[in-house]
Amino acid sequence: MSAPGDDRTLEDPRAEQASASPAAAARPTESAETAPSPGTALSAGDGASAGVGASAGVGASAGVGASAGDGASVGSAALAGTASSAGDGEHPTNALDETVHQRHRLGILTITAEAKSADFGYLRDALGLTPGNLSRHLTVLEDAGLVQVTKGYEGRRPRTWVQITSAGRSALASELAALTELLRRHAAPPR
Amino acid sequence: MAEDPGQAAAEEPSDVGEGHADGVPIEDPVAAGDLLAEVRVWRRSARSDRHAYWFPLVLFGLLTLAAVPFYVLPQMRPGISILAITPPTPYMPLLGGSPGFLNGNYLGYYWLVALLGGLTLTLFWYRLHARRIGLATPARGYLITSVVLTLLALVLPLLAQVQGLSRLDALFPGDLSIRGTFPFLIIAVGLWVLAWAERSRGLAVVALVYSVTALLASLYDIENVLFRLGWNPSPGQWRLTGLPNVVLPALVLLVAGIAAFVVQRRQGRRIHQQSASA
Repeated sequence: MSAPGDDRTLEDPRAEQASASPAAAARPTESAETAPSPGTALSAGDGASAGVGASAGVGASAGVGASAGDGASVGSAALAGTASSAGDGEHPTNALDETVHQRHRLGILTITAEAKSADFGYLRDALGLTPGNLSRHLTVLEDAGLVQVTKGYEGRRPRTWVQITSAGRSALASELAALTELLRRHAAPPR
Repeated sequence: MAEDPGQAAAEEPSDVGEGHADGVPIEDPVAAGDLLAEVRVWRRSARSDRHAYWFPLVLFGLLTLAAVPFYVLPQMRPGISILAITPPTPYMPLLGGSPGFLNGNYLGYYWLVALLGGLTLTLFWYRLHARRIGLATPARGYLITSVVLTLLALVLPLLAQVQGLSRLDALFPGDLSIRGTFPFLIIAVGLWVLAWAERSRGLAVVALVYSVTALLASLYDIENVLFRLGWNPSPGQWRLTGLPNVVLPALVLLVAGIAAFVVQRRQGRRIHQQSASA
């Protein structure tokens, strides 16, 4: 599923970060075969998958992220990459996934993780989003395989239910762990 | 309410790509702290909205109270064995108690209908709540666990009568079923599963208190406590001495259900005010 109006070329935010952040710069360099070089722009027809591909560029799965057209597999690859980098004792920001880190998408995953499924209207009200923006965030998450969107009717009333997938739960857990670790490191006295 | 996301998406400007420009730079611990705080508010708000367990508590409390007439002991007559005035073999010993202890054999039928009916109503309640609030509780595990236990309580004693399967008796010790309170244990197990599904510490506490009460009612004659407290039943009141074992678990469910109803309403309002102000 593509996000209408979101087609564009995205700069790789991690590449920018690598040049800007000393912590990120201290990371081991990915192999030339798998990781995009700093400043590499990932061009994609679908903004959603481009975002995921960009975040996948952090981990070892960058090659998969850049070449795969399937949002679900890209999301999984991104997760695998972030999980492995987080476990290496590297900077916690390495484990942050752009798809999940965005505030509203994190909200969608948090709320859907608390229930069997969440109604479109509930998410819209809880997150203070317009229907259009919520829909686009859902498209990004659905393309990444992190949520499943089911449309149906209750009587004559159309209802859209959103359900988090197991990949979505893992991504949410990784994101929260990374944020918590970031806070912990900041709070810890310098050695 | 615009319920067609595809149509809505085509009509409005996007903020999808705002990512780090959304005030959440990933290197900023303060922003990360704010984001985690926001996650906690979303989580609490969603849990509070989803909690709806007051209904099954009140429902099964009322169903337990409605069973009270079946727990009135049979009228004793001098010189006549109690076994002579009650059915010789209980059809449903787990759901209906032991012969000679209770008034007739209808208790088993009552609990079979009450448990299955109560579970069906609870399932409808959660569906209604999901439609109204917009968040669905995974109540299927609760339903399946409770139905399976109820059917096992019905079938196991029958199977144990089949030649070669008498060892199945070990699965339902008489101490747990003699007073006709085994259905309370089924309700208790269901509450634990529901507490897990609702992710509610409050319901877990209720399940713990109720489990202790249900075990007490199954293994001990609670009227003994009342005797010690000074209750001296007249000969006519002896028929009612089995009722404390039923009324106490019912009261636990009713009080917890009413308290949960009040707390859930207040909590929901407060969290939504916090969420709106945030």
